[in-house]
Amino acid sequence: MNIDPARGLVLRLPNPLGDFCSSEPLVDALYEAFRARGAERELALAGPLGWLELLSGRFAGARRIALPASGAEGPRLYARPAGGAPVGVALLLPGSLRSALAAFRARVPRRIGVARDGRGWLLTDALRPAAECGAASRGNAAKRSWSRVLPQPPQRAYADLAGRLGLGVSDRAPRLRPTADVQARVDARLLSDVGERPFVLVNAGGAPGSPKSLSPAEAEPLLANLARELPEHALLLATAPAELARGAELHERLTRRLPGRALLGFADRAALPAELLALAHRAALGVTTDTGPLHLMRAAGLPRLCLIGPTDPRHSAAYDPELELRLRLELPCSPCQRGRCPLEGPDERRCLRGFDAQDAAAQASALLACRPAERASGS
Amino acid sequence: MVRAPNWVGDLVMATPVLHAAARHPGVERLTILLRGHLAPLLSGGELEPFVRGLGEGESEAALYRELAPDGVLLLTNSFGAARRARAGGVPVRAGAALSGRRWMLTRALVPPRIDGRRVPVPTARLHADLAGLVGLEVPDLHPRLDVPADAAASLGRVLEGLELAAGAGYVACAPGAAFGAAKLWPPEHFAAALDALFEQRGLPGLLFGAPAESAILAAVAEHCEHPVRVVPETERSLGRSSALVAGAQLLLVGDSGPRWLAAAFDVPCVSVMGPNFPELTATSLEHARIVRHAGLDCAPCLERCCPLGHHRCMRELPVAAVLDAASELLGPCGVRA
Repeated sequence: MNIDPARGLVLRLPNPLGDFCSSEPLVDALYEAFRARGAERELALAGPLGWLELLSGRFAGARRIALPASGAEGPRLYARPAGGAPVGVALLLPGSLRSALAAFRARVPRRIGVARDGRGWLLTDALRPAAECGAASRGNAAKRSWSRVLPQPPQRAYADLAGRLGLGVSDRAPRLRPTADVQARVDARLLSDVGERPFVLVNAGGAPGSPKSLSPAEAEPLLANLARELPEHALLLATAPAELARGAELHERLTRRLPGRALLGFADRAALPAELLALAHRAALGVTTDTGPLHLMRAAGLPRLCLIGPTDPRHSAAYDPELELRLRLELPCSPCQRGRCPLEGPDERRCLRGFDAQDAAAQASALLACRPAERASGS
Repeated sequence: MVRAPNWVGDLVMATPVLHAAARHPGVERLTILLRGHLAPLLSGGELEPFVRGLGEGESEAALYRELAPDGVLLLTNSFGAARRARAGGVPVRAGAALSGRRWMLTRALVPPRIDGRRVPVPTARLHADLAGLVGLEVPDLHPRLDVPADAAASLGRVLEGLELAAGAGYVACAPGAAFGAAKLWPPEHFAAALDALFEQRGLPGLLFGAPAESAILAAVAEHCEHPVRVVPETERSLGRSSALVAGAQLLLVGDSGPRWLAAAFDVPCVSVMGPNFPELTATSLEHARIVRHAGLDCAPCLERCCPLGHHRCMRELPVAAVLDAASELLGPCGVRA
């Protein structure tokens, strides 16, 4: 690694949960490089507080800098720590202007990041990401002659950035584990609710109206079919606290449709990403759309069904494709990458609503055969 | 149409894209265009019906005009490949914006750059990104090949002729490199590694390579103290080499095409790398170990011959490092089951 050992490095981790999870191989490689030099204290991991907990129990020697939920950050992020070396390198994984500006204003000598959104001039090492030009076939069927950033998993750009430090990052799936106490807490609840019974972890959350998530009415047929395919399995509906009403509605619908089936709402128990991660480590199968929980399931090595709606599948390509069933409808409007579907009537959100629930459930149940040995043994 | 790469390794790395194209419901008529001598690599499997080999002296542009494809995905990065597709009147030409050919492409992928210099991207990844230009999703970068039944059968006869019993283990060794002398590990190093593997594991060496590499094979065999087998020049077809690697316990190879044959068959492989960027081939490493001389300022130079004349990146690469890598793959003792 070609950095000055007398200087510290701040790794600014991404804000979106999925991107954060995807950065684990880089954090691991970076930490090992510092540890090999006995300088792990000179490495600082800066990121959203809730997400940093996902790294608890690992990278113990590295400093943690928790950022507020608002994502606000300033030059103080790069202040010299008490008894530590001044910060010599800011490795910026977010692509925001604000993160680059903070490092620039702090006068960090080396600022490494992706050159986009007009922030290239703030960086000393500006990576110009791969771009596709011409009549790109994806992107709302729009034939454009100008170039746009190539959709790709964030992990790739992170590895390219690490290359500036002479650091090789292995091209592998991210791996995260909850701390023993979080796992024990979740296990205790699981034992009382489902006993030793296997369960399917369902991401039942999502912002209302978001084209990336299914409404309770839309999720119901898929989950009902899945319950029929997997009669031995309980269904565990996990939502964040803010999505409690949505989870409750889905729970109610499924209870009516599947009387006598073990259904669990886990909203109050999956308030933290670390708890959702702990659930993913115990589940037999995951069901989700292309949102943050997908990446937690991946990081737990959980076989999963992922329904892809308006997003470009290249953004979320899996590093362990044998464990992921990705269903996506080829539609002329997809992928549009929009936060709201611009269409109305039967075409509205068809990219996510148009799946054959029975077929999807049958394919997902076949995934159970892909269960890795270490998961099957419960370790 | 897909214009497949001209190098063995690159072609094998392109197989995930070729499979994705063959299976995509939106591709009504697929042709995989490649140099004729590479066609046997894709024989015996799903891709064979789509292969169209280019004969010696055959005009690629004329072939484009004859076949009149709707579009061509160029997995070769040369200026000439784009020029020929354009001259052939192919309306959609998708490829990497390299070698000054961007203006000839209708869909182009611009690789990442930093400080104006290209960031090394694994070739398999580049192929998958290029496939995205024509709407193909490539879920897995791991290459896959099939061994044609006739190649497997004829290999059996060859091995019999070399007095290698059917089912007996061997270490396949391809010491040559079509790229150039800079990629060659000295023959005496290969020989020492093969001798050590024979002593440690009882696995005889089996030398193979392109027909033009006979002198290198002979040099390795000459330095070996234990008997090694050399596949006769007339028997070294690509299809047979493919079958030979598929049946090996281990492949010992330079940074050359056969490394990717091992990846395609999940055969353990130790590859010695000199002047190349390790990032360019940093995929499918599950059963592979890349052994390099770390800490040389001049490497990677990407030159075909060492511009400094010392060739330290390969000459100073120790045999012990290769044997350690082999032990990692095969275990401390015994052979692969």
